[in-house]
Amino acid sequence: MEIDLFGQQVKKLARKQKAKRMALQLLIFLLLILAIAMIAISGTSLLVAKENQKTEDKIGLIKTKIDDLREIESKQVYLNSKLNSFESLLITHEKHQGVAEAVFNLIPSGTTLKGFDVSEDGVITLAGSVPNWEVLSQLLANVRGNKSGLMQIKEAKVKKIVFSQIGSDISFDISLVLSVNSAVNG
Amino acid sequence: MVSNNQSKSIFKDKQLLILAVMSVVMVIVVLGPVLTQLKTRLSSKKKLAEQLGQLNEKLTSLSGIEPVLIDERVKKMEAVFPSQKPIVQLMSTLSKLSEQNNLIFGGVSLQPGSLEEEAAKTKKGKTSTDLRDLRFGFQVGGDFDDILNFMKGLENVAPLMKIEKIGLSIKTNPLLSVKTTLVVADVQVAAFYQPPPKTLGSISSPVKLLSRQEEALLNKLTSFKTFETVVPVGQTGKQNLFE
Repeated sequence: MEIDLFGQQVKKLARKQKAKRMALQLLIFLLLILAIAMIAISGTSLLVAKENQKTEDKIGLIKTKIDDLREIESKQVYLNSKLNSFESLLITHEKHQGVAEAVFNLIPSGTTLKGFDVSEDGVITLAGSVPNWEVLSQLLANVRGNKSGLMQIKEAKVKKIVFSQIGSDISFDISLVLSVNSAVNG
Repeated sequence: MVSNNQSKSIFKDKQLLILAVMSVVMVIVVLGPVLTQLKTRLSSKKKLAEQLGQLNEKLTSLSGIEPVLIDERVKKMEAVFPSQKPIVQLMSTLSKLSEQNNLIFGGVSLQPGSLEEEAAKTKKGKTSTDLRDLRFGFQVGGDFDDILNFMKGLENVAPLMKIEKIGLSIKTNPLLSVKTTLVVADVQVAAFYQPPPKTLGSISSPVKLLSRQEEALLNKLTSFKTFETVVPVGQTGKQNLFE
């Protein structure tokens, strides 16, 4: 009869050793994978570095080409910088031109114009004098009949007409409100 | 002998632990920097690719611009909306326009503009467009219709001008046997100019191409009549005062 005195302990030890061995194998395997990963990562890193170098070379080449076109670029930047202001200037210019044209078309020959002011709310004040009644009536007829051009008279108010002496000039003060002629602008 | 066997046994016992520590050290010391380097390189690859794309786009845009056309446009823009105070061009244009309309031109009064205001604006950083104007007054005399034609033409000539104020007065010439009516117009005008940008920006900054609306705007430049400016080129005085 065989008596196993340390049977339990031997089995326990054997299990422990097996587990240790397996853990060791697993660790070695992991280390191997780590080493392979390191080699792969280093290789990729080197490849990426090489690609970066190539891209940098390309960038350098393109920069040289752009440098050769620097004159054209400066002209384009110049035009872009001016266009913003020019656009707003041109819009006010066209409106102003319309106002000036409308006012000039009103004035009959022989009129002495002291000045015309345009207020912020768009009211134009025309002040001056005419040598006789005929010219004055022509001026008033022009004010009434103004329908063409970029700007047309929306509202006209004769503020003052002064006949000082017989044979002398007749002074006037007229305020006008102009609006954009929709027939002309479409 | 005993101690050697003992250390071997300790090593055998702790083999697993040592290997585990080694792998952790390997990950931290070797793999860590390699991974960081790869990450940095990949990030710079992305940046370089973006930069290459931008530069390629810029090169394509610049190559597409017609050098002759842009040159013409710049010249026309400079004539209509100059970069510096256009005093010489203004005088030349006004005298030629009045000459064209058979008018007498004179009585020019220039307001040089306040430099302090410009400096103050620059300090406060309020000037976004840097648009400046030059205000001046002058007189033209002649026939009434010619004056009206002059006024109509004034806003269609280069450099760009805006009539600010106008006063018309009728004068008779007593020297002539036949009483001739001379209309004198006192005109206050503002001319505009804008200095060009000081820098071009970095080489990788994109070039803004003109939109259709801007192209149409540039085409309007051609509607402004330009008079050739004659600038005196002869020596007008002593160059070195000490000679």
